[in-house]
Amino acid sequence: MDEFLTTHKGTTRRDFLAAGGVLVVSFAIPGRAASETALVPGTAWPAAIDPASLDSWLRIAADGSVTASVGKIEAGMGIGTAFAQLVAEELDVAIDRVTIVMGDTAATVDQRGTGSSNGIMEGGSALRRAAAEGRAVLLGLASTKLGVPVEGLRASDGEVLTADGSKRIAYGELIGGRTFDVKVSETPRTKDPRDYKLVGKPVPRFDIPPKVEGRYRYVTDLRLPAMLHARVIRPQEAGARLVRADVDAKLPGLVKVVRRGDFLAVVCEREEQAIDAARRLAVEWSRPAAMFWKDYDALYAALREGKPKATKEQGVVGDVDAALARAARVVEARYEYPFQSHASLGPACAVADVRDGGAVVWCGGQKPYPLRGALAELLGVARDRVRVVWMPGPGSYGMNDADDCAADAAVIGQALGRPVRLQYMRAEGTGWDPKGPPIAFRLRAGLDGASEAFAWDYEARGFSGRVRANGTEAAGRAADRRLQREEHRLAAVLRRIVSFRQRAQGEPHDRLEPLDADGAAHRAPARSGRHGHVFCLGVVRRRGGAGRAHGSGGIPPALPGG
Amino acid sequence: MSAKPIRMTVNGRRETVEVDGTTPLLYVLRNDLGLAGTHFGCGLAQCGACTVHLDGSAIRSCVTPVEAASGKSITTLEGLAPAPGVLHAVQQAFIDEQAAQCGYCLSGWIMTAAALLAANPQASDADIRKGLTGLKCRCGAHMSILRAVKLAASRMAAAKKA
Repeated sequence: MDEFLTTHKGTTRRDFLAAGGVLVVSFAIPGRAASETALVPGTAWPAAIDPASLDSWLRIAADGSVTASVGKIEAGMGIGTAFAQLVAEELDVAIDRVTIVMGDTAATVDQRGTGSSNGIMEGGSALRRAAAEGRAVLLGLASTKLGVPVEGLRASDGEVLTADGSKRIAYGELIGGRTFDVKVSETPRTKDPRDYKLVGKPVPRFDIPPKVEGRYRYVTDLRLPAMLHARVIRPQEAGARLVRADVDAKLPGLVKVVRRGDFLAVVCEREEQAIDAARRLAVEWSRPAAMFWKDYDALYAALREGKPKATKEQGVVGDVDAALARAARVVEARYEYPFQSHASLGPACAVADVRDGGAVVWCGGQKPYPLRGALAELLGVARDRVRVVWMPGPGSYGMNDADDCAADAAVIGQALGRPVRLQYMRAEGTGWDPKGPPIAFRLRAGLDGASEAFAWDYEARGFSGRVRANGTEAAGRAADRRLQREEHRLAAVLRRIVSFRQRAQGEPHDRLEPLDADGAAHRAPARSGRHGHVFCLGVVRRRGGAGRAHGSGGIPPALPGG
Repeated sequence: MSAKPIRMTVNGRRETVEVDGTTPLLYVLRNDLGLAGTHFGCGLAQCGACTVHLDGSAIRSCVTPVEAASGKSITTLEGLAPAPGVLHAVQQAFIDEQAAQCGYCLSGWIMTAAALLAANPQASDADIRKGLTGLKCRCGAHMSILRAVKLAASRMAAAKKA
C-alpha cells in the first residue's frame, strides 16, 4: 500500500480499494514532504508539526481543492463536517471542495486530540484563523497578479474577483500545490458573523452516507499486506502473575505466542484462529489476594468511613459546620456512583507495524499525540520514529480501551516485526478498560427560615486514578507497570468540597453540583463566606473478595493505575 | 478442521471460500470477501452490529458458522441498495434523518429494519419498536433511528400504493 490517511471529504469521500480482502487507500496531501506522509517504519517523521505555520493547517491543490489538517478527531459528533464548514466559510470555497485530515502525528498539529468537548473550541478556532489567514494571502497574491489593489478585490467560491467581476483568478491558479510560507497571525481578520453564509446553517454530515452504505472505514477495517491477527490473553483477576504459558503450542494458524512480563498474546494467520488460540492456549496464572471489596456495599462503606490521609483546603472563608448548626433545617442526601466505563459498542482495535527501529500504529483513540510518546517509551524507540495515525474507532465517548489496545498491538508488533491487527474481545474491553472510579456523595444544605439554602456542604469520596497507566505522554514506567499487573494499584482519594457554591472551573464536582443553576445557594457567599476542602485518603487495596472478569454489574477486575 | 470449498451468493455474486466450516460468517465476509461494512461488536449475538440477511432473514453473522450459509444467499449492508446510485429506502431515510453518530452499529439497525419492513410492509410503530429490540447503539441515536425507520416504512407503503 502507498498511503493511508483518514479523511473526511465532501461529496466524494475517497473510497478504499478492495482487493483480495485487503483494504487500502492511496492519498497524498499536496505539498507535504515525503517524510510527513510515509507510512513505513524506519522513517524519521517531524518531531512536531509547527502550529505557527499556515502550511501546517491548510493546503490548496492546483485544482482548487482544499485540505485542512487539524489535531482533533471525529467520534461521530459530526465534527469533520463542522470543520469543513468553518474552513469553507472563512476561505470562501464550496464546502465539498474541502477535505479534513485529523489526528495524524506526522501530518497534523499536536492539539492532543479531542476530549472534554474541545474539538470545535480548539480545532475549530485554529482552522478558522488559518482559513482567514489563507484568504488574506490569496487576496494579496491576486492583487499582484491582477494589478488591482486588495481593497478592490473580493473572494467568492474559490476565486478572487474584482468588484465588478471583470477580472477573476482561481485559488488553484494562485497557490495550487505550493506552500503559503507564512505564519498564522495572532489575530487574523476573520469574517464578521453577520456575513456568514455557511456557518450557523444546517449542513448534512459527510460521514453519514458512507456509514449507511457500509463504505465508512473504521480502524477495525484496516488491512495491511502481510498482516497477521492477534488476540490478548488476560487473567481472570487483577494482580495475577503469569506463571506459565505454552509458548511452543501447536494450534491451527498459530504463528507466535508473544510474552512480555505478564502480558500474553497469540498471533495467527487468520482472525478466528487467533480467537480460538487465545481460548485454547494452556496458561497458568497466579491467584492473587483480592484487590477490591467483595461488593459495592462494602466499597461504599469503606469510602464513607475511611479516614482521609491528607486534606487540601481551598478558599476557606467560614465554617460550614457552624453554619449548618444554626440552620432552621438541614437537608441531606447521599448518592453512590459505581465504576463507570466509557464502553464503546465494539471493543478496541489497533493495527501496528513495528520494524526497522520505528513504528506506525493506527488507533481509534481520542488522543493520538500523547499516545505517540507513550508508544516510543514502551517500544524503546525515539519519538520521531513513531507515527500514530488515528482512524475512527468502534465508538468513543472518552478514555476507553483504544490506547491500551494500541500499546498491546505495538508490543506484539515489535515481537513479530511485521504488521499485526489486534482487536479485543468483548470481555477484555469491558473488564480491562480504564474506568471512572466509584464515588460516594454526601450533600447537606442548610436552609434558613424562608427555606432558602444558605450553607452547602458537598462531599465526594472517591478514588484517584482517573487516568490510565498508558496513553498519556509520561507512560514509560506506567506502560511497563501495565504489563506487571501485581503492581496495579488503586489509590483511594476522599474528596470533599464544602462550599457555598464554590465553582472551580473544569473540576468534575462542578458538573455534578446539584445547585448548578442560579439558585438560592448563589447568594450564600455574601452571608457566610465560601469554603472549599479536598480530603485525600491514601492507597486502599486488596481488601475483601475478588473482582470478576465477566460478571455484569460487578466490580471489574482491572482499574486504572494510580 | 476441514477446509472444504463453501459456495454461497453474497450481494448477488457467487463466491467460493475455502475455510473451516465453523468459522463465523462475520470473519469470512470481512476478511476473505473484503466486506467490512458488517461489524464486530460483541461476538455474542447481543448487540446486532454483525447483522446480515441470510435468504432474506436478519441473522447475527458473529455466531453463524459459514457452513450454515452454504448454498444460500447473503446480503450485507454494502449490497442492500437495489441498484448503483439508488439507495434502499431504509438507507435513504437514515441519511434524511441524519440518524447516526459514530455509525458503528448502523449495519445492525439498517439490516434489521430492512428485513422487518420486507416481512411486514404494514409495520406499525409498535411493530418497529418490537422488531428493533435487542439492537444496541452506544451513542444514543435511538430516537433518530426510530424516526428514520418510520420514515422508510411510510415511504415504502406509499410507493406500494402508487
